[in-house]
Amino acid sequence: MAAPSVQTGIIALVVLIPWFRRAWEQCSDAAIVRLVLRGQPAAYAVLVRRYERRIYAIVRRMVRTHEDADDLAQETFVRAYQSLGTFDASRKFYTWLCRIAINLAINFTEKARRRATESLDAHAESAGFEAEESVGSGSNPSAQAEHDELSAAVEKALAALPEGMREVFILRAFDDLSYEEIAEILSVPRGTVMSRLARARGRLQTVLRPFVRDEEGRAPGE
Amino acid sequence: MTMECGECLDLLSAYLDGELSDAERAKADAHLAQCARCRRELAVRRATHRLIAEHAPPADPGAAYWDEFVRRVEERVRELPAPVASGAKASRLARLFASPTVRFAGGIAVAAAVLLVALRLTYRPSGSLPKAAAYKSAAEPEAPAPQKTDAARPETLAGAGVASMPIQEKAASRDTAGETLLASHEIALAAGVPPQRSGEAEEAKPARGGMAYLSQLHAERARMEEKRLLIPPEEATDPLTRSLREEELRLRGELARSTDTTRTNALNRDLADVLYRLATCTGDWRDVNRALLLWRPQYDRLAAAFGDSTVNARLARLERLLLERIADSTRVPVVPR
Repeated sequence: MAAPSVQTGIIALVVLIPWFRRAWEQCSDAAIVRLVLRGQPAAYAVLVRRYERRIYAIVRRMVRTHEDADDLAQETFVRAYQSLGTFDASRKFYTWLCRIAINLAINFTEKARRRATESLDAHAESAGFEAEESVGSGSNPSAQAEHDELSAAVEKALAALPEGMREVFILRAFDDLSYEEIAEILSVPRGTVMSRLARARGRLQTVLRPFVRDEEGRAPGE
Repeated sequence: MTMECGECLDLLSAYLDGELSDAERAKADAHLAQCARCRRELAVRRATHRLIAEHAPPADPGAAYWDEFVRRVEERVRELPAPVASGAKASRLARLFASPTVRFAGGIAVAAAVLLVALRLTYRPSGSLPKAAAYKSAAEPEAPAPQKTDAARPETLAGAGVASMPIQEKAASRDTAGETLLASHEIALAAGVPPQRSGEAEEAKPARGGMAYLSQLHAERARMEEKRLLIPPEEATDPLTRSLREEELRLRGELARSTDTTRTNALNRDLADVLYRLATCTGDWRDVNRALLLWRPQYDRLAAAFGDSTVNARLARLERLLLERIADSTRVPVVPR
């Protein structure tokens, strides 16, 4: 009699646990925030899982290394947790989270830039980066080398975008946010988003023109 | 209307993002259909976009990384104090006030405050002049001195203040708060209000210390304040001001006699207009005050006649004028309280 009831219990658990998990994951952001604020900190992991990839993708495009992006993404979720009490439930949680991530990334790049200009070592490192790039941009025939060269060029072009333009471009190009959402995240008017994006694209196009090929592999104007 | 190349190029970025309005997009499509240069530019932008998308730094370090990521965030979060909603902080405060000790102390404090207020309102040192009498004599040094009986009794504030007013103002002081517009001496004059004996004001005197006494005291103070604000302006010298003042007097006279609601509304509207013009013409703080005393309580009616924005603009101008005059302390007499 005991064996069947144990089996029934196990089967019920096997069925119910994924069901509970799915129900949990379908909860709205605001509902999860309320749960956390009512003393269920474990619910916060659902929000982390929900947005970790998007936040990482944004900060990864704003800093040079995976390690820095990892630190910043983690810090974003920790800071959001600390300030969860001030979150306005009438706004989108992701917009609020994104704003934290962008601010952290801007501060980080600003500090890194200052350190780089102050430190001779940083200067040498930067020179190394350039050298590596120039080696890459040589006539390496292999596809991987070409890919690396293009990746380095794109990364450098993104890093060279002025502050303000870079965030707007990254949020649009890599997170597919609407102009309204970007405007809300950065607290700027929609028109500013539009003009910054146009200018950012203009700059990127100028810098990357030597690498740009049309769908048939020809350089534009050929 | 067709689009120029410059305009089209400016919109290409939003065009690529699908963020143009239908009308803008239709215009851009029409231009692109006939302009090879802009089409080429669009193709370059698309190619640049593709290049960036394909070669941007990788954004997915792998499934193992994400499991680890959540674990590390959870670890860090576990060490932090639990977040508290701002509303919950308020409820903690509410809980604090709910404790018996705090409630007892609060009760004592409230009782003490009530006692102090009551003492302050009823206590007067013997031999001192009532406040209203002092106030009145300072405000109107030219008026005849109040009768001895009035000054000696603090409970006859109404008598002390009103008895010594000019007759017309005394009549006006009987008006209710809703009839502020009719409270000036000119209305009383125009309406031919009969002179009032000083004893009349003392007839309805309530017992000292009661609620009726307190409410009458406050009402009397409010009337005195109003009277101070209604001091008539100086004699006009220029013809425009003079004609406006005459018009004002005429309107007030008609208003006092008018019994028809529609006619009264029209007269009030005209009077408001004249008072506003007078205030902005002379800039005298008394004119400004009188205009404000009409415009503020009549806001709804005047808004129906002139429109909200006009009324708001005029009120704002009058208030600005008044503030300027108050700042110019040499022109505003300081009345001791």
